[in-house]
Amino acid sequence: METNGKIKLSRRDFLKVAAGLSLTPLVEKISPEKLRGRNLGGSLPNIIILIFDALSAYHLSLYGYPRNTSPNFERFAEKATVYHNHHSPANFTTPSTASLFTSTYPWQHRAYTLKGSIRPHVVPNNIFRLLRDKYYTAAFTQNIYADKLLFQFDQYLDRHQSTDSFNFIGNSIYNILPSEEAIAGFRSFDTFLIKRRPPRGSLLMSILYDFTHLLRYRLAFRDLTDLYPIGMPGINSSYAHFTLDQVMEGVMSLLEELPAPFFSYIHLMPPHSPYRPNSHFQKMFNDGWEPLPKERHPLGDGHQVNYPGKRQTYDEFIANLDYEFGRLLDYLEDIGLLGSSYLILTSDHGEIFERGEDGHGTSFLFEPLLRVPLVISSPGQEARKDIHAQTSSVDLLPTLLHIAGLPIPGSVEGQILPFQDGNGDPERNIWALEASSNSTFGPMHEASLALIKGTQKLVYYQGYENYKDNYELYNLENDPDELVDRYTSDPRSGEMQEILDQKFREIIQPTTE
Amino acid sequence: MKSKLPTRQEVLPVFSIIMFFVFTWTLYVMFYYLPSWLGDMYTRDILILSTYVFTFALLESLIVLGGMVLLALLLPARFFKDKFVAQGGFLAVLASLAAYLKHPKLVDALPLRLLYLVQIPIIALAGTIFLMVLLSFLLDRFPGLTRVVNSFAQGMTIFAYIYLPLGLLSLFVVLLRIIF
Repeated sequence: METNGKIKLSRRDFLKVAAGLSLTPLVEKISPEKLRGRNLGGSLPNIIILIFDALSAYHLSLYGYPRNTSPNFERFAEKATVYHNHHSPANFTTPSTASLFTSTYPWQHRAYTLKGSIRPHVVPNNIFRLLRDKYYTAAFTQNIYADKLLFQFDQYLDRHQSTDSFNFIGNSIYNILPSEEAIAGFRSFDTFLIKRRPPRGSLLMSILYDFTHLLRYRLAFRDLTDLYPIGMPGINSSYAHFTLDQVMEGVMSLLEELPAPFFSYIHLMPPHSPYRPNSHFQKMFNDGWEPLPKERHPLGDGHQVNYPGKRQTYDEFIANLDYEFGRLLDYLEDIGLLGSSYLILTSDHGEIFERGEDGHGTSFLFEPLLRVPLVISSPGQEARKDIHAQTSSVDLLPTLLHIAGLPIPGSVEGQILPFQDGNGDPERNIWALEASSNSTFGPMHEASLALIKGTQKLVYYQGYENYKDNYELYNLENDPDELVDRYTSDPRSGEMQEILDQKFREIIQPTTE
Repeated sequence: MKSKLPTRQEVLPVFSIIMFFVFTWTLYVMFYYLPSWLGDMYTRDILILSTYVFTFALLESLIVLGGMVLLALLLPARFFKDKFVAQGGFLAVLASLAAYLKHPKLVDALPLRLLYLVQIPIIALAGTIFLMVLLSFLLDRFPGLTRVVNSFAQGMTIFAYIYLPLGLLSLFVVLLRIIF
């Protein structure tokens, strides 16, 4: 692009040049031996999984939310299959992403905690290894905890893009280490020695690090204060910051470079907090609307019961994200990738702003936290389909293996999604677990377990100091807001409790694996 | 140039004081996190993590020592280099205590709210310069004080014999892992 006679690189051009000039040690990790000899060829469609962190299906107009948060998701859905009852197996990134990668529920992979790892015996049956025979495998995530999981599969990745690749300011230290040492580096540098929240293991360098990052942010941000009046989007646990348009352009460049047929896992931070929509989207939902009020749950310990202000900003951030997704959609269509790929739009978990909690990573397993979007466009699909069967993130792996004509291992706990040669089992058990306060190896002493069966949802809270051994039953069809606990009045509660109790007895056992 | 550098006998006590504060803090925070590490990491992984942590602590100590040596080169010898053990040791103590105040988990328990003023950079810098000038004056004025300070600093060298091998061994392991 020319400006006043001088050639000026757009950000997209810069990213292309940077990749071409092999500024790759700073931009991406590519294992050289994995680039050689990977001449897959074939006519399989590409697969793109696009994850938006902490995107709750409840907050999308695509699924009936009163605010118009997702017009571009709706445009995408016009030629896609929309899953209306898709659930995450957990309420925060590490266990939910691990479940997606391995098609196992959290008690199998045991990555319960924020910095947890998938148990070694589960790692081999991961989505990247299983698809690798037929696909070039690529992964990128802005979420450092998801990136840590990706390093457990690094040997199966043809391209593992660095987490800071498209950030305005990046700061992950573990990425400078060889892949084999990245997890050790992550646990020592990025989450112990030099991290944003105290206490930090480094006495003096951590302070210097704070100071330099503050300076970098102030210098980088001074030209963007009008565009981002409440601050630049960032990654909560680090000093990384980004702009949505820059990240999306980075994703466009990445996808364009991948050799077909490819399987790519793209996991972006928005709309995860901090919620920082740009000025075009700020205040767009200053409409005074609030959902049905809900009482504080016994386990809700936030300073408010409901959080209308945060909900509004979150919705505006979603709208901002939706706009950028629209640009990505147009781009993929222009370069022909949309017609030659399965594009899977989903999330790792949701977000909640009621009952005395805001955000995620709580003890709750309410629908705003568990119900996530799932929209899949298939190559050549011209009409929308709607699927209302209960589905789970553990279903993605077997579905993709089926698409690729590859065998499905016995360890897989998911099922092939309906539409892809599956009719959906109305009596199927869908599970979700929150057990982040437990040891990975020891017995579970404090946990929340949810069983979704048809239209019924039973939740069991075990071991919490203020709410020991309590069950809650909801009818998701008649009571989607989960206002009425029918545990004592519904005759089905006994049958469901029996199933849940048996499962709980199985999963609370310690493991040495 | 060489005459402006502190001798090895002068560097060791100052390095020991630096290592004492850096490593002790790191160990304190490690023990704080250890229960959660034991909850989701294998013992082998914790040991590997520890090698990275102690390697970093060693490098951190060396960087701070490097800063002291740089000050000895830049500042008038009479003010700093000639009293390297006392001034360097004192500066290390001052910087470490100020750094402790920036790590709220520890100081929340201490009734020293006024000391949070050191978090303001200009106050920290001015206070440091004032105290160092004051110490220099006192060391010149009271030779006995110099003997006391040097004696204390020499006593701290015991920590070098503990932390330095720990740091070097960890560095060796980390380099082995990275190279091979």
